[in-house]
Amino acid sequence: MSATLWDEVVTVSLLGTDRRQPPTLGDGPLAEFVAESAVSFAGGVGDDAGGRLVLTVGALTALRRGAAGPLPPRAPVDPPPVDRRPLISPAASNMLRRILADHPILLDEWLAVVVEYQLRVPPEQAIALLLATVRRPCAAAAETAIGPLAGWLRQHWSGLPAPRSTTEHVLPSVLTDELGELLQAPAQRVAATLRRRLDDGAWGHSMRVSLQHFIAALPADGLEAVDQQLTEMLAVGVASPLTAQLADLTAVRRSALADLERSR
Amino acid sequence: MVAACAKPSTFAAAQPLAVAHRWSATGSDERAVWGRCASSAGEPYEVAVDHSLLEYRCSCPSRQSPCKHAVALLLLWARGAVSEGSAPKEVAEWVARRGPRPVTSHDASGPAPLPVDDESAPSGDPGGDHVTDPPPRQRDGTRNERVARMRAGLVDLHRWLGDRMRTGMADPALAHFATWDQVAARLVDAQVGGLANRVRRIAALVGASTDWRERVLAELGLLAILADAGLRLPELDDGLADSVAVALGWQVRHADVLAGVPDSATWQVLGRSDTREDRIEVRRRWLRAADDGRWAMMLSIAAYGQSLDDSLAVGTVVNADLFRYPGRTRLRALVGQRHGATNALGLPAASTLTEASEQIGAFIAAEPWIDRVPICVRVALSGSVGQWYLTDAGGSMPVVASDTSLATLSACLAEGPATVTAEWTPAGLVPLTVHLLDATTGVVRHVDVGRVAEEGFVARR
Repeated sequence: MSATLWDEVVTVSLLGTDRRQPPTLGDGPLAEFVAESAVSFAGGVGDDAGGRLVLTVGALTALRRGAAGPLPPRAPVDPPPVDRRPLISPAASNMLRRILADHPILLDEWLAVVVEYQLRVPPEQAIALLLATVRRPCAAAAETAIGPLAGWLRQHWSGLPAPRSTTEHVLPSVLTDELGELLQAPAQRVAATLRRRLDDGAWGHSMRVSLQHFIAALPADGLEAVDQQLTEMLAVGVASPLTAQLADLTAVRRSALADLERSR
Repeated sequence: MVAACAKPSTFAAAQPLAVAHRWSATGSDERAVWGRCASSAGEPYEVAVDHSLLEYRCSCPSRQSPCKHAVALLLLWARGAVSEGSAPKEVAEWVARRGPRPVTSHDASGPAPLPVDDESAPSGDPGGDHVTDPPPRQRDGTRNERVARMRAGLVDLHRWLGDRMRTGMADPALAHFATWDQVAARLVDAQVGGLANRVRRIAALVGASTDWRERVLAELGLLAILADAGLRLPELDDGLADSVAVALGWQVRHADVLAGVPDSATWQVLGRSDTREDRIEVRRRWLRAADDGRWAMMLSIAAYGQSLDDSLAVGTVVNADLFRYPGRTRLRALVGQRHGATNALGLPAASTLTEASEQIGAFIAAEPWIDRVPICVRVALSGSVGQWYLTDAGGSMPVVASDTSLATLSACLAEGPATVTAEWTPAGLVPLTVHLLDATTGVVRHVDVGRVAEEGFVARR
């Protein structure tokens, strides 16, 4: 089947058979198929120039698609410079997915640890990470964690916005004085205070953002005690949705740090 | 209403269907109630009930009369959830063929309580729960009616296609959505919903690219071939006739599929694709047999607020019996019994683009109107913003995907070739999964880069 026949058919289809005669199909199997099909329509519906032409179009389309091979080979894109740092573990990768979806407040610390441990983020998570951090102070850490691929992606994908200045969008402190002081306290006292205040309702939903920042800012060695207290509150079955959110945040932060430690 | 059901289970099955969100285009008048019921198979069922003579009509494949859809429609009507309106032409003609309406004492008082169907309930037990089949004559009559409607619809479609060729594709009317919508509506009325869906997909091509007229023309040609094949069904071999019937919109019951011979193998779950088609989300999961590479496709469909099947995660392997739908390619299948646990998939075997083209050609030869064929190839990325390609030493193919899919694909392929599962479509390859082997650890990551159904449209499980 020649491209010329298809081109002729397209031209006639655009102009209409009222204005231009369809091309002659000769005696081959294509002509037989069209002739055979045209008579199957009741009342000779298909047995006119338009009916025959549209069947010809269908047959040619099937032939063109079925017989089409690939286009000529093309030169692959130039790869980014080689990054020999090891990837974070699959568990850490899953945790990054979780942080991006549910707890972006943990990103700054998580990225700082990845950079410190000289690990790198797998390429399939690069786009999501770059988009999530474009307006955050950790944008530079994200680029470092992704490695040379980050620059390569900016060069090849126009949909990626450039990172903003890290000084413009630093969040103001949202910790109350009481929470700020509590950050310095021993872990057991932090955990007990948190439980008591959540239990008696003094720290309710209106404090949610402050408490999330508080959990994110706690020294890592204090997380276990807080995790234990919040888990116990959930086990009793009377915990508020806020307690459940904070418990999840604490657990994710602990797991994320542990997974990165194991990735080293 | 229970008494009108051939089986009590029909009434029970109708209850969950008697909710407004499952129905569209509903209406009622003094003689009939009608509507379209969303079906799990994709095409909505056309349902009508003559509530005066208690006769039912439904495009579902059930042999029960009334079927659960007809009973659900009656329930909806009895609850006042169906507004009054003018019967569509098709319903009006059907009612007219039923004969005149009997005069009853309920004429002036809204929905009438349903009497027992004299034909289906044995004498002496007017309200009983007997299991009875409708008379064969009635069943055959319904089927013959449907075949006649389909045939008339196919002839009408071909006449319309011929007229388009006669007046030319440059006709400005083709740029109007209403033109296509009317054609699709007529095909729905003719109970060839599969073709109606194709027409709606063609409508989406209009104006979408600079060469849209040529693309639309090609699809119209395939539509003509399908219409032609639909008119020749009795002459076609069994496999082709089944393929054509399914493409036209004829439903195959799950029970009939599950009664077939199982195709047992170790199945690799290689890809997932979600596509939005008019008012439904369609999920395809592509499975490949580990032994000889034969493909199978699981289909899941969700209307607004429903959930898609998310079992069989990409990157897993399962030993299972699959039951294939009839047809030439026999790609679509249902999962039967699973044997053992689901395991993680290693790096799947990949072909070259030239080999993949031959596989695609074989599928098109079997079903010329097929518009998605799975392939698994080892390729590198080529091109630039505007047009990307997957390439190997023997050739290249263009990629079509959303920006996010493309960006993730390019990130995965930036460092070199990888194994990719994709769907061939007439517009290009739709990447679904990148199978990345970490040379240091030997771990394979299966990165799902396909489009995901809109979260606001489907419910998450």
